[in-house]
Amino acid sequence: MAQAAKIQESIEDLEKKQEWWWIAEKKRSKRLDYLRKAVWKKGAIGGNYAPGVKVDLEIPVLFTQMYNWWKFDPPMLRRAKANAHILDNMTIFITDHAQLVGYVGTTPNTLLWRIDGASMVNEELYNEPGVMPEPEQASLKKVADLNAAWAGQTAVDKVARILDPEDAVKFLSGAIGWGAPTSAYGYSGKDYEFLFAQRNGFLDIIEKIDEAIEKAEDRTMGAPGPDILPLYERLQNWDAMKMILEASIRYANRYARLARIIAENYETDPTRKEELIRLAETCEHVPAHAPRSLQESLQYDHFVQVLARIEALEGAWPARPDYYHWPMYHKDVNVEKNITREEALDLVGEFMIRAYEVGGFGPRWAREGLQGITGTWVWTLGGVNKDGTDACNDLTVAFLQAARMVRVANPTFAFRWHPKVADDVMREVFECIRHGLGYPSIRNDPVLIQNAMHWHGHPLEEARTWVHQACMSPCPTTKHGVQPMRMASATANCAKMVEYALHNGYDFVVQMQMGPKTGDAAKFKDFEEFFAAWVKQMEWLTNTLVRTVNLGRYKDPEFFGRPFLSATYERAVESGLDAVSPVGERGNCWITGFTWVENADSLAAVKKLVFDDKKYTMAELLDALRTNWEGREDMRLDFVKAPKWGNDDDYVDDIMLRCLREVARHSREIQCPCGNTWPLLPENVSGNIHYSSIVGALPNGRRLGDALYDGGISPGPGLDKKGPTAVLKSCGKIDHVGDGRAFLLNQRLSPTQLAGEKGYQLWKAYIKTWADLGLDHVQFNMVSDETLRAAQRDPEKYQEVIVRVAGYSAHFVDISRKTQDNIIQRTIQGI
Amino acid sequence: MSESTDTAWGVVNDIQRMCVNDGPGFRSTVFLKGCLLDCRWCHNPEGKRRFPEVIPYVSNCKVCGECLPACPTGALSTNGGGLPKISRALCSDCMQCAAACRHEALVVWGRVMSADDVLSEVMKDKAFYKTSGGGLTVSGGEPMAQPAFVAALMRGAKADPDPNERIHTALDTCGHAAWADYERVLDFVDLVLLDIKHMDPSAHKAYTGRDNTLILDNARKMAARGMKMRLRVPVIPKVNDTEANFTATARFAAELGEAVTGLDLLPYHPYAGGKYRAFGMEYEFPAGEGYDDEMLTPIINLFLDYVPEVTVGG
Repeated sequence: MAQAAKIQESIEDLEKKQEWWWIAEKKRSKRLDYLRKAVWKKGAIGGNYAPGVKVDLEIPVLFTQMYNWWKFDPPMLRRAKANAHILDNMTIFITDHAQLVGYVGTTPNTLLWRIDGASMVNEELYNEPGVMPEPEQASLKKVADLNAAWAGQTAVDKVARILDPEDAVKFLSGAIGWGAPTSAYGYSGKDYEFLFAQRNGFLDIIEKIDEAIEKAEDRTMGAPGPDILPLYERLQNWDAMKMILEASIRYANRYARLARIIAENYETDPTRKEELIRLAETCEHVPAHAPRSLQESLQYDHFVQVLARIEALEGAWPARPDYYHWPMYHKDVNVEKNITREEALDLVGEFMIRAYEVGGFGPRWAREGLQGITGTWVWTLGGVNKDGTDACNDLTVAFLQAARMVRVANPTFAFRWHPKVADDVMREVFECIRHGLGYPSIRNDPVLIQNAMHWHGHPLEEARTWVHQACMSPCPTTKHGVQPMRMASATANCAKMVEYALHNGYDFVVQMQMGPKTGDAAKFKDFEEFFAAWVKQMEWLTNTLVRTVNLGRYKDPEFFGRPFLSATYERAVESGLDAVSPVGERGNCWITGFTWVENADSLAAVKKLVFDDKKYTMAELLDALRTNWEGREDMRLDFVKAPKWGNDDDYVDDIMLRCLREVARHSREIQCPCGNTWPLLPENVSGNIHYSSIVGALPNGRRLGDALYDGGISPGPGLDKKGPTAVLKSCGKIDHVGDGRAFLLNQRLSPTQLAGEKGYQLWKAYIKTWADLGLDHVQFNMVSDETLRAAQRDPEKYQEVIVRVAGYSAHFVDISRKTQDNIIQRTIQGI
Repeated sequence: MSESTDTAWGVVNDIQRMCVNDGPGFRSTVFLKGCLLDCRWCHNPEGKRRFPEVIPYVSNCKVCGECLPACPTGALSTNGGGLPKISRALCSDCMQCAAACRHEALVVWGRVMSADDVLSEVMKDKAFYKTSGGGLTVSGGEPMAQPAFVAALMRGAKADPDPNERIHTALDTCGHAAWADYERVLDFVDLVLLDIKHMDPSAHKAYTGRDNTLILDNARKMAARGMKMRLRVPVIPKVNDTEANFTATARFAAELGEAVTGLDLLPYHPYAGGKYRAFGMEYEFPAGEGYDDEMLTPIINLFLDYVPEVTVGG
């Protein structure tokens, strides 16, 4: 009856104990409480799905039926017909108390399985017996039939067949890259300017398509010549776009009909009956027409996201909800006063829950890399308007407040900080961080706008619309800026650069020659020779990944095809080309750099101990690395103690800058299919764990099997000996415009230091300094009680947690159990 | 640069960046080595002696025994294969054992540094001081055990010809130093954090080894000089936590007038026990329980009648 006891406790008491989850329960409405608790957790826990979560088999069966029927149609048309068949026939349902609808499964507990993405992912289903719907035997039979039908026919199969065989083998080794080169597992941006700013409903778009068809047909009926020949293909694409938009409207109307059936036949509560009728009216209006209210606006956005996901398994959720839904919020809450602010908060909270319950089946390597979530739904808040004025509004605040009430792990927020953000908005941001959500992350808007212009040539006004394309990278939401297909496979396992430079391009883990032969490192005479080898390996690695991804992108309209996405892109509606076609896009690519900082730390350790101090020879080092430091613990500790990134130490920081500048130079030599640059973006999600068994021993003192650093430009855990300000100083040496696309920085702050009004003022000053130093990103982890308790259970892993009491500091793990308990209590009381 | 910072040398225990409890804003606190009092509840035993020394950090010890042959005077023993122990009578502070230890179990506390080196470390966080109103705090041990060095540090922090580039300075002191030494320092200090441990001279002497006459006298002189001060009052069970003592302390604070901008209560906590254990030392002060909010509230209220602001922890 702990629960009953909690109900008695006051919010003040719970705040003191930092039991934020109980506070959330007390503060949210009954509806939000019900909806939040009714959600199935789709993200994998460690590597496994929660019990009861099943793969949806209805959608792949429906898709396959119709897709096979139309086998002689061109890709986009064929897919439009098959997807329309899903939308017309999939089981739909409405959650009790819900005001928003749209799911990517046919029951609340199902994961979407896009069967046309990759055979190797499809095969993984057999390894996950828990996810088969009951009865299991019948499901296994169904899966086997589907897999047999699709074997060798998926998008990735088609790409693999035309890749250079050497590239294919190296890419598929899993050692250097992560992800798949197809938009079946892509990260598509949404053309929010077209849909929301220009207020186009699907019927408005159909009208535009009809005009385009009419214009094209005028020409195809005119004088013959080579110029009209491409139009025949485009006419079929326009047909496909129109077909899927019409099916989408029908799909929404199915919800409307269901809501009316429930309201008129089954619902006894008059309030709920009214809600169901409103829900029906909402779905009858959007997506066919532009929204007239906040509920319609959110419902429209959610339909667009869900429909894009039924078409392809999206890995991300680029969105800027406070900006694009502000007009309808303002109208409903402030101007016409149709709903109260509390009612608006309910809708906003539910909007987040609807996103949280979206999930797709991913292979084990993806689940290990994204532990606890099913994709990176990072929503963008704050920032500036196109004219540079502050874009924060009361809806920004509402989202930040709703987040604390629903406390979902996905979506999370990233906040576009700029000097004009008002204090009350900053306080709301701080509250979310203080409540241990870990978000919003803070992004430096002026720096990133400049960065978007520098690397990709986005015009100022367009750059100012930027949203997070995935976790970190800014991308505009405009006609030529929006990016249809960010493929995760441009994700480099960067630690391999220095590993290959040491071993002449040979990989001792996967046991094959991967990189070029850059020479026997034992014969390098000085650091410069070693560094030159590193540069060559870096170039080889990025070239290999980018070649693969470029090809995947270029062939995607043929190998996959995205009728729905195209129908929501202004440039595709205008041109009749698949949205994924590089034509008309400015280009906004980046290479995600996993395990990046290991390079600087390893290079610095070699420079110091082998070439400067000459304490060890390179041959000794290579021998130690190849035997995983066995029997050489003293030597390993020397390498651990060598200068490390994040301590404001120029010795290693200068090496970091050299590395980044080599990549930045190379980023302009490699081009995306749009002809634009490929800058680096160091960040890790949880790939540092996935790669722990794939990256060999390194000169930073790491052994094969040890977790890699937690990411981006964050120093290695426990290796930043000089505190958070020194970390910011090191990171501030990087040019966050010219050295790369963005740089992830994790920081852990102590709640005792940042409690109360004084804590808020200090945090605000900290952010101001962070901005003055020119960093583009930071996310805070306030050490929670849970962490401290986990540190008690497993002290080895939490060596770096420091607690400070006035006048006295200690490593948490060094103090007695009783004292630890006392500190856990005290952290909440700090003044 | 102004005179002679380059010639000042001191013994520094630690420089901690991003401190938030030793004055306003983000601060770098420089802990100097050596102390002028001998408080029985001392939380920082590594700060007591004036010169660099090796203190065993026994919780890191792997009992490898490699330190033993390194000791030339026989000061180091391991009680027959156990944890290291140093006989202060025999130790010549040669630091050879620390050089031999690979596990950070024999650690040298105290580093001789020039004022310039300390200042350049402190100035690394200037960007944070500017946005938060923070700066340099010199603490200890007792910083006034090294007055010339403190003067050099404080002067250095204020040396820039451009007033906007000078940083805020705070001196965290027990008050027990010659007034002439304070006079060398205070010109460059913005805020004094002054400990008032007990108002009764004999009790003060019993618990810290010295009576409080000089301390109270210095406090009055600082106030007369117009120094901004925060009084730091440790709250120690059965030592000074009586109403009579706190009332006397509060009255003294009021007597100092506008100089006192606030008062920080530093409640005793038993955490030092863990540190003493790590050092392989006995913590002689009777372990008590810490204070919770309920126990502190009446004390806070008592002080609030006399001073404008009271915090717990600073």
